[in-house]
Amino acid sequence: MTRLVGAELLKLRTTRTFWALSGSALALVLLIVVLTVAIEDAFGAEHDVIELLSTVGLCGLLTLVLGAVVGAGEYRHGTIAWMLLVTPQRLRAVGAQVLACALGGLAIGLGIGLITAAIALPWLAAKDAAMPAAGDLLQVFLGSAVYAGLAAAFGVGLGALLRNQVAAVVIVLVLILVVEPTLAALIDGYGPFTLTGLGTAMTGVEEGSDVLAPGTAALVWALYATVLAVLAAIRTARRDI
Amino acid sequence: MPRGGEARAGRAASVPWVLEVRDLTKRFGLNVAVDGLSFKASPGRVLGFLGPNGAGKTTTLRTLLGLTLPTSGTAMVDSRPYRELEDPVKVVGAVLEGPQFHPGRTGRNHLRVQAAAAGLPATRVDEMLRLVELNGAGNRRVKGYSLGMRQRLSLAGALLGDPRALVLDEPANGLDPQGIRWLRDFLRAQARDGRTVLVSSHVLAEMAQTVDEVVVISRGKLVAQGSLDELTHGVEAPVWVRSPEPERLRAALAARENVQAEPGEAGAGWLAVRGASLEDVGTTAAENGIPVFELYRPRQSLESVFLELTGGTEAGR
Repeated sequence: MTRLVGAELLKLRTTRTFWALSGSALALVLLIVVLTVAIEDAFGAEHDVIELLSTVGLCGLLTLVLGAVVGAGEYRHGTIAWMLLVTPQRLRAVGAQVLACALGGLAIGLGIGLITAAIALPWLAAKDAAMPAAGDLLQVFLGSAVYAGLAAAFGVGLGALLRNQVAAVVIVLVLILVVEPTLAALIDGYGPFTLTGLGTAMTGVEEGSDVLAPGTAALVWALYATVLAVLAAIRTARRDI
Repeated sequence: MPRGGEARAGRAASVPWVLEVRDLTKRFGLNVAVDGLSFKASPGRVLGFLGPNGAGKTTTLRTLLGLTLPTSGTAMVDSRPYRELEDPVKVVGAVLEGPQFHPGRTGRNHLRVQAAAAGLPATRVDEMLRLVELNGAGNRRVKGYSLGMRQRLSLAGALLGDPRALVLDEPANGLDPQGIRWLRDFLRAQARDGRTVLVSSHVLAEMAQTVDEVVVISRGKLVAQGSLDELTHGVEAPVWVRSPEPERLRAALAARENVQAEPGEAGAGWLAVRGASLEDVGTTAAENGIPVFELYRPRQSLESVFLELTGGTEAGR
């Protein structure tokens, strides 16, 4: 399995899509953080800093798209055939891809978190911002990275299930931007279980009775991703390629 | 292929059949793509898999490779379904029809990923690129490759694991005449090295120069199987004879049992004679004092045999 995950990681790294989406995620996060730090005069509360740094979690949206593109891309480009010729045990093949994308997403989240920290923290300190404790900062950055990894895994499962890149990306965006907010408004208590709600909980930026604990949020998201991955694996196993 | 040739040839002798399809049927809804098909491919030989477009060749090969599930029957590689092979790239190398590359990935990286997934050393990648003469283009993105270069890259991928068998679906597609000649020499070399080579193609003239045996299917069913000689002699061509007295000769031949002689399309004086050998026609003419200017029986080409066996259907896929 390690061998297969390694091959899938190599597969990720050898396409422009991975680097383009990683770069876009970094640019988006840095743009928001840099502009905010430059414009805002005071960060008087620790929560203001946490909220600003939780912008890193935005990379989860792009790793979600990355996963969907990768999962469905195997069918678009026909690479699913040789993937299954090398690994005819289809559950293993899909499992390795989900794991590799989760690791790729995690790496993107960690990388963007590190770069953001390197730029923002000294700048905020120079502006006499109320700096949170190291544990809280770690929570934001690690939580965002885990969120990015789980989002990528979710995307791969969805992409492999749908097999159509455009449909997978559109469905992801409609789900997050339209369906979830609507359902959260209509169904009492659903908000914390939406993908956005879980992402927010993982970064630890919000606390309270209507937000899950970061660990619980990560487990729920992992459950969503696992269900999708299992469905995709079962469907792939039964499908003629 | 220099590596492991003698060892493989020895192993080939102890393994009678590597690829076997038995009573294979595959339905897609109401459409029967493959209907009770059986054949075997043996080591050290090139088996041509022929049939008109839509005959079920690709479905059969994909089923053999575990990509398509059979409705009934079996498709075995080394006495097991492909999906049960522990190290499949070392048993079978495959070239499939249709797209199979990410256009943004370089040829070398494509092979690197395959090698990594199969647990093969990265040195095999450059070896295979050299073998298929793509070493100068390995760092170019596949979207810049010609169809022929993509076919060569597919072949390189198929050979990465130094497999005992090759399953190739229309490998000549997109190759120029030089490429086709290269492919022919390449396939013959693979068979000489002891590999089992199963190759489908609709380029019949090329297949005639490449394969040792053929399996012909039509509408999913086996219509013929055997060596090229067996096949081309199995369908008898008429004897052609040219005489200044065709009507007399025709009457003389018609008097013989089961012999039919018809005016030929080649021109005045020609007769096409069925049901008689060259000797029969010559003797009949001599016995009746009829001059004969030309007398011959054309050897049936694989193409004409193929069209005759499959009813000349060449539509759809």
